[in-house]
Amino acid sequence: MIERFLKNIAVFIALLIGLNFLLFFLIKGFYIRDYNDVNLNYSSFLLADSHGTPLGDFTEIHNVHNFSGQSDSYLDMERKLNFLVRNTQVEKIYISVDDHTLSPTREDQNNLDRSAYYTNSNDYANYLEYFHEKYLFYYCVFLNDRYSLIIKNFIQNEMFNFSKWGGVRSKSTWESLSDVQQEQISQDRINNYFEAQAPSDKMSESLKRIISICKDQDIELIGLRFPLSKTYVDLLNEESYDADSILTSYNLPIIDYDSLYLEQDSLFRDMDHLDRKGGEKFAKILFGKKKDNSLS
Amino acid sequence: MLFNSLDFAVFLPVVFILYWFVLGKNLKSQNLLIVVSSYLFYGWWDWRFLALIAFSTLVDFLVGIQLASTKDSVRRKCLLILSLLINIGLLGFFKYYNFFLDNFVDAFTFMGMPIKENTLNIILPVGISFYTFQTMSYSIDIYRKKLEPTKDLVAFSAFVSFFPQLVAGPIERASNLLPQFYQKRNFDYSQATDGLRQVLWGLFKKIVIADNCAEFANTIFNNSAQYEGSTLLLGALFFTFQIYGDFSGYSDIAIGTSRLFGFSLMQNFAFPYFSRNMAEFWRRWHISLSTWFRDYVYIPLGGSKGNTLQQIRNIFIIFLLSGFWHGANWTFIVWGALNAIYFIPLLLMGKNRKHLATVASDGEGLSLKELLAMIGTFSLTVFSWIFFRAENMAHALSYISRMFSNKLVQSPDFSQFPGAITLLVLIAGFLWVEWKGRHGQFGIAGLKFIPRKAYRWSMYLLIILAIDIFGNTSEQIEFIYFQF
Repeated sequence: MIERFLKNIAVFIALLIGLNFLLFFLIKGFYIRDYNDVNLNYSSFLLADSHGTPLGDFTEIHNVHNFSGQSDSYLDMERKLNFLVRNTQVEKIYISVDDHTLSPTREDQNNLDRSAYYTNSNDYANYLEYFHEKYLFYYCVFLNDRYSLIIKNFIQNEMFNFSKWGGVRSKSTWESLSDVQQEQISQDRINNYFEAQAPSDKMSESLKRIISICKDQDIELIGLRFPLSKTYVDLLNEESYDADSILTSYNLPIIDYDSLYLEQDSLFRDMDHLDRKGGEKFAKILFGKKKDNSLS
Repeated sequence: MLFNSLDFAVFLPVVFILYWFVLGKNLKSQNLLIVVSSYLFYGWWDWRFLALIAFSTLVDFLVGIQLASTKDSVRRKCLLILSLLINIGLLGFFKYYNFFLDNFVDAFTFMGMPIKENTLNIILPVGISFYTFQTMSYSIDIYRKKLEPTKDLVAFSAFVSFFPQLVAGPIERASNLLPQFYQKRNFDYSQATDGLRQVLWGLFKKIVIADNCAEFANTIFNNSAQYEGSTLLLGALFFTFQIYGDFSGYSDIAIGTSRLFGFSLMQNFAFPYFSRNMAEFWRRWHISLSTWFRDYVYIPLGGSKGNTLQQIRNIFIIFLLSGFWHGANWTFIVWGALNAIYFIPLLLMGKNRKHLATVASDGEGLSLKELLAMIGTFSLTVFSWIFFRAENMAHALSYISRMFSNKLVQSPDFSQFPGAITLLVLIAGFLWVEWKGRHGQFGIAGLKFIPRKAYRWSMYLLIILAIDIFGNTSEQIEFIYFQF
């Protein structure tokens, strides 16, 4: 009797594993997707979170590969940098040092599940951690809360979102929002990122390690502050975790473009993200010839 | 150790394998393993309170033997009082000391005689209300000569500390559970698979229904002054399903786990939200506690015998005690009183024994009258849960007055609660499954009758998938009844 019970349990677990892999391929299709795509034929790379993604492939016209990922934290960028160092000849790195990048919120909202793809055993304290992060957590949908959350959000947004019922799927552009709406959304964003008084220690340490790696590998590291909308800048006031000051303390240059498009809401997707058109325009300015004015 | 934790997911298979494969042929060793693993299970939370369980076990074990060895009625009574004093004393100290002290201080202050308050920082040992009631029932049953005392300390310890039901019940009677520790256990395939099914359903109730409802209920109750009436009603509804999913989910996991080890525990919830009046509700909600109060308090008081006033008094006593059992707060006492008020008219009209069978069990489907009765009973329950959930009486009253005075009949602003609509859909699905399975011991007990394994297993996989996708795994949320 008990043998039959255990046999059935074993078969059921095997089925669960099968279901897990089916789900993994689904997840890979719409979550991991192009996160694993990197072109190693470049020597200059842009590392940023969602502030960098609107620049898309426009950076490549200027021989810079855009290696940004939505929600990338410095820990993710550090993994990517180590990967690049191992696999290609890196000469220059542009890295995002925006006001929020050292936020404890960014520490929590990261891409560690996805960036595990770029790691090897040297990136971990021990083999157990390596196995857990790189394989168990990466491939086991049932153990990865982020994967579950993505499926849940997908279902919620597609099926149970009133605003989408009846075929209404339009999304307001940033410039079409009223001042009050812009302020409200911007304030929510600020509340989300600047709730804590102090920056995240983990993020700060990781940024310092990135600086150290670049120094050891003789890689030119340039800090980058992305354009922000006027409403957001006004509300943000002096709020910042000062990631840029870490770079300046190492005498590294910062390109500060946060005030570049203060009067051009038409280039923004939301309060602090450019849209595709803005990304294209910004890539030209950033990697074009005239950028000396913004260097500090 | 929480049932919904990775620790338990490792603990359970290890104990299971040791129990059946290593010690399968030796009853005493199996019982000893249960004691050791139960103490480990409990000690995972706080090992210091293991001494309390051991003490309570030892007291009632010795009292039981002494009760059986003497025929002197005075001595027997003294022994019973000793057991009750120790058990209620422990409960009173850990659970009610600060409550009584606060109220004495308030009363004296009110009379113009302020006294100094010396409250103690007392940690409430998890499950103390459950295992003390279990050990008390043992001594009382021996005193009543309904049960022979055991001389096997290991079996008795296993009965008191049996890990599946140690911290949140069901509160088992010695007459049901203790004899199972004397009998040789054989692995029963059907019982074990039933157990796993029940564990799975319990996890769904806890992780998907209760923990998600908790998130919204907590937000709404903690900020009740900010919300309109319809949102407050939504908060009360979410709490109604939170407490059911949480507590009945725990009971399902406890009963299911026990089955894996060859034990049969009593049913603790029998689809209470499908009740047609409050008397039926109380026959279906937390059955092990209701029947405990019925057998050890209500019937000795005279039960439904005696004149009307006595009957009303008896009902009030058990409901107030039931409320007080849940916690040292006036909100619980008022919750108990409110349920007594719901119950008494049924008793006086002789309708408290109506609806003994499950709703719509005659094969004719649900009538409109039954549906309205169910909705009415459910509404009364939702209202009473507001007292149960509120922080204090002032909070409960302001919640209720705001709920009824301010835009009750309008749609809540769902944009403030992302995911709430998904949750309501999940609750509707959950209720549908429970409705379909209401004749069984638990919601999906009927799945075993599906002849094709492929269909059956697909259902299990679907439930696991739902737990994974919709379960609130952002943090391991403790079971509500741990605090009682």
